[in-house]
Amino acid sequence: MTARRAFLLGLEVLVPIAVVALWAAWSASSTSFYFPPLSKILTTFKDTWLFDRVGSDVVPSLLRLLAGYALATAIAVPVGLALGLSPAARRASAPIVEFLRAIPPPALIPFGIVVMGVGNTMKVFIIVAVCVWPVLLNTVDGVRGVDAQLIETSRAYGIGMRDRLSSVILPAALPQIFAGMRTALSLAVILMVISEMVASTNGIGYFVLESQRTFAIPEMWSGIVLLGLLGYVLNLIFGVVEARVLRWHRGARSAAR
Amino acid sequence: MLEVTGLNKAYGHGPNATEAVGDLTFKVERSEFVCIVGPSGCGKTTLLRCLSGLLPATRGEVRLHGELITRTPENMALVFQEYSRSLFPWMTVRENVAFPLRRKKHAKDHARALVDRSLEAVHLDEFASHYPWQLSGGMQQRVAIARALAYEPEILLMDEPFASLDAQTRGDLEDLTLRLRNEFGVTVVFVTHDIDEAVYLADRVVALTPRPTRVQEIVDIPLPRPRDQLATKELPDFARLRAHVYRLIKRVEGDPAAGAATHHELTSA
Repeated sequence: MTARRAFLLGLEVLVPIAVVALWAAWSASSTSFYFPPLSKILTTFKDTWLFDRVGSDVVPSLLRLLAGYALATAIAVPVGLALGLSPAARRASAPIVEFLRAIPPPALIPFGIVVMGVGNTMKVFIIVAVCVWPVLLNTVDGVRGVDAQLIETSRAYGIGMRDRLSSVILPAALPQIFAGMRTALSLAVILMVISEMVASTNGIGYFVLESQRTFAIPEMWSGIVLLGLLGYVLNLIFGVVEARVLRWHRGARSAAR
Repeated sequence: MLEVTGLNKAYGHGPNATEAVGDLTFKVERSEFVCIVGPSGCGKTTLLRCLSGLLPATRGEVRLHGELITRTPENMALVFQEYSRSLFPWMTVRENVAFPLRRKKHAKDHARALVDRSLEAVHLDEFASHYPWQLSGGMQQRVAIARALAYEPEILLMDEPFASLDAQTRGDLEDLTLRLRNEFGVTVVFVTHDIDEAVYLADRVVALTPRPTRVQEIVDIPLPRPRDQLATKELPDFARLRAHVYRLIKRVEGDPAAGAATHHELTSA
């Protein structure tokens, strides 16, 4: 068992290293304009992102991302709770929700530019407009799926509506809310990049497109690598937070098996 | 103390309505231990939910100290059959027990003392900071009992609380329940389908008919206390009372031979 575990862990560490090494070896003697040697990309990466353009591009990008994501969650969870608890509100809002959710997110950008200009407001709006849905729908499902016995127990003990919401319904729905938030996080990164490519004067997305337009191919690659790393790290952080907050859920599930 | 008068519960309306509870009338006196037994599927859980005010009755009424029950009153606590679904998995044992006390608005120290005392009473004080899912089924049901006790109810309603536990644990928890009932001076209404359990625990057994449920007979259980899993169950009176309740339940489950025998026994007695 432990030998197998060590083997799997080894695979997890070694395979990515091997892939990078392979890329480095394959590209080392590259003279292709579009596929510069990895070493060149890494040097550019160091010159660009450590830490020359952090303040001018990375920080604005991250702020937009986090503001949009936080705002989306702050809107979606309470609304989701309300819709989850009220069948009437759910029925009334279903067609609107389904319609708004069906709009491909980039289609909102022209509207956003016209109404809000090309500033941060528009970009945050785009991120919110997209991230709201997975969180909202998962919250609704989570609330509807709360075990009736738990609700009954809190009713029997006269737990008031406020405590019932905050200490019973919300925690019970939390595993599913987190599933929605995980989906929303990757959407937020995508929409951040798209909105910065369409209309911006800074940000990582802007940098990647601008580098390509000025034929600064190693720079372009370094931006792409940075976005990959950013998504990876954000997911990692999310995983750590989720594991902490939902420790009981994992424990309860493995105990039920 | 608890008065049930003409209780009826029907699901649905008009010709499609099904009656779960037909017409029930009985009383529970203060500090009594009453077991409600009926054939499987006779609407025992529906009855208990009506008694506690979780489910509105279609007709009839339930009164506690003369007051009509429309929602679970503050001096009543419930223990459900499915402990794993009635304890909150994101709360520790201590938090689970303390949670309902929010309604009572006790001083902090007092609430803490209540929680400590009831956890000690069910021998779980060492597990206060565990989560319910880290405990065995029997221990989880003890947490649910501790939660009910900390609530300081005058009356405790238990809905087949030990039905999903193994025989050994069940016996232990039956004795624990009897001990706690004396220690905390609480009135108990205990719903079960297990005739042995009912006769062993109760002062009186309310035997029900199948749906639509009515009271078939209320049987006094004058067995000596304290009761003991071996000594009490070896008493001839225990065997006789058990057989009597068994025939009541069997008869209504459609065994005419058993029914005839019961009838004969009753008229000659």
